[in-house]
Amino acid sequence: MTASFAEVIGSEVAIAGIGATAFTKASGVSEWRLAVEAVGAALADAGIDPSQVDGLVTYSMETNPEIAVAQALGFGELKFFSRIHYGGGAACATIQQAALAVACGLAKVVVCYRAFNERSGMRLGSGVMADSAPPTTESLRYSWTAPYGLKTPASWAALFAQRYLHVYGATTEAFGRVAVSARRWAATNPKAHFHGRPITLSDHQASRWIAEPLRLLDVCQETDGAQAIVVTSTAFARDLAHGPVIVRAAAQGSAPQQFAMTSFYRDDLTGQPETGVVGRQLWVQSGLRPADIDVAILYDHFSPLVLMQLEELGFCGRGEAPGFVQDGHLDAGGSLPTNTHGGQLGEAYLHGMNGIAEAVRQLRGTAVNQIADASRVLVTGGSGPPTSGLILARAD
Amino acid sequence: MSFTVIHAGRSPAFPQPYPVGLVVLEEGTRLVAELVGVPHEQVRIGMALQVEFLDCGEDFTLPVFRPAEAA
Repeated sequence: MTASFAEVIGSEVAIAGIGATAFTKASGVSEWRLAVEAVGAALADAGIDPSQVDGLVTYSMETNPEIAVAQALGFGELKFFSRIHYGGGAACATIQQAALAVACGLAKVVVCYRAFNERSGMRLGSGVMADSAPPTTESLRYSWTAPYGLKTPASWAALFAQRYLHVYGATTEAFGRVAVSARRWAATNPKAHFHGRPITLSDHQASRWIAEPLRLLDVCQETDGAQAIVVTSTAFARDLAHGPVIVRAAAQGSAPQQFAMTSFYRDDLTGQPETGVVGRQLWVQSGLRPADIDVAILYDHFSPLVLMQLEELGFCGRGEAPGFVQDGHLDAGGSLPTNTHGGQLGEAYLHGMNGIAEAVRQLRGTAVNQIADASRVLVTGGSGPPTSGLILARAD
Repeated sequence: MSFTVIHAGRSPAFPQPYPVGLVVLEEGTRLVAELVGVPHEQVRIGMALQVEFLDCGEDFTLPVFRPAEAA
């Protein structure tokens, strides 16, 4: 029963701390150091001594073992560690795993983290590279696309984006408006890579092609950095530095015929049904409706997928997202201010974890682009692969 | 069904820009494949294609598609 999250966890689990490194293009330090710095910062933010941590959660493509982070920060006994598959799709699932562990009493303080040098180190945008390793079930799935040079995440997303334009008669300006909105938010966020650098729709239309119909300004950044989030019981969080931000709902989702960004064999290619699986659970768990959400943090690896997520989550109807965005709903003063930190197009690409931190800041009332009285924020993991999502809420 | 034209790929084997299609066969099967014999600016969803088999050597053959000849 999907309702069981509400019944079992209710409002008993909270986020108590957030911490990040600087977001750069060349950190100059190891990924281990980035992870340790961010986890340490998140614990300091919460006011929790490292010796109290007994759980760690991260997700695939992370190179820092839990035990290396624990060693460097002087943790004691670890009782819960979990590593979720599917890269950025799993961002919000880290919080779900931590919440389940806390609610079940398996752990008291669980830190979720992501750290990488994905600009100066192995670039994530490179996609599937030549590999001499023996084939696996997973790598073989790319053998249907890689021989034709369809090897990068941008090129996979492009096939969905092209179909969306064709079916709904939209133009690439619809994608551009998502990017313009993100960059406008980023322009006033000092932590954003694109701080002070907004773009216009003309800039978007003039930017070079990456994989048609995706242009450079439709594609997220690659970033060096780390972000960590501290999850604990709401009761414990009430005694800590910032008080609790409640985990109101948390879900994972994979849809029929799911591949990791290459789900090309579904009847309909104009959506991201894995996000729909997540969204339906979030509404059931929370008892909320789209109109109840004050701020959305939608995983913006590629701008067209933000349009599809808006539709999958029910913020607008199928094919209506271009008009929804054009009407300014994602911007300041709109009905659904979205990616108020600038998103991964504007702030940094931390595989979704920096978006969870922004949701926490909005609910604490400490965001640089604060939305007045924000009390409920919906966050998504990356669509395309199996994905995840959260609704976070201000404590009563 | 859909297509892309890749301008910033990472594979030296493919001179850029190059089109890649998501092609639907008459039988309903769908597959990703290279599009040949058509300038990338002229690729459109719905255009009729026909298969040909590209010999890549060493027992490696790939189906690719080019615009169908008028019947």
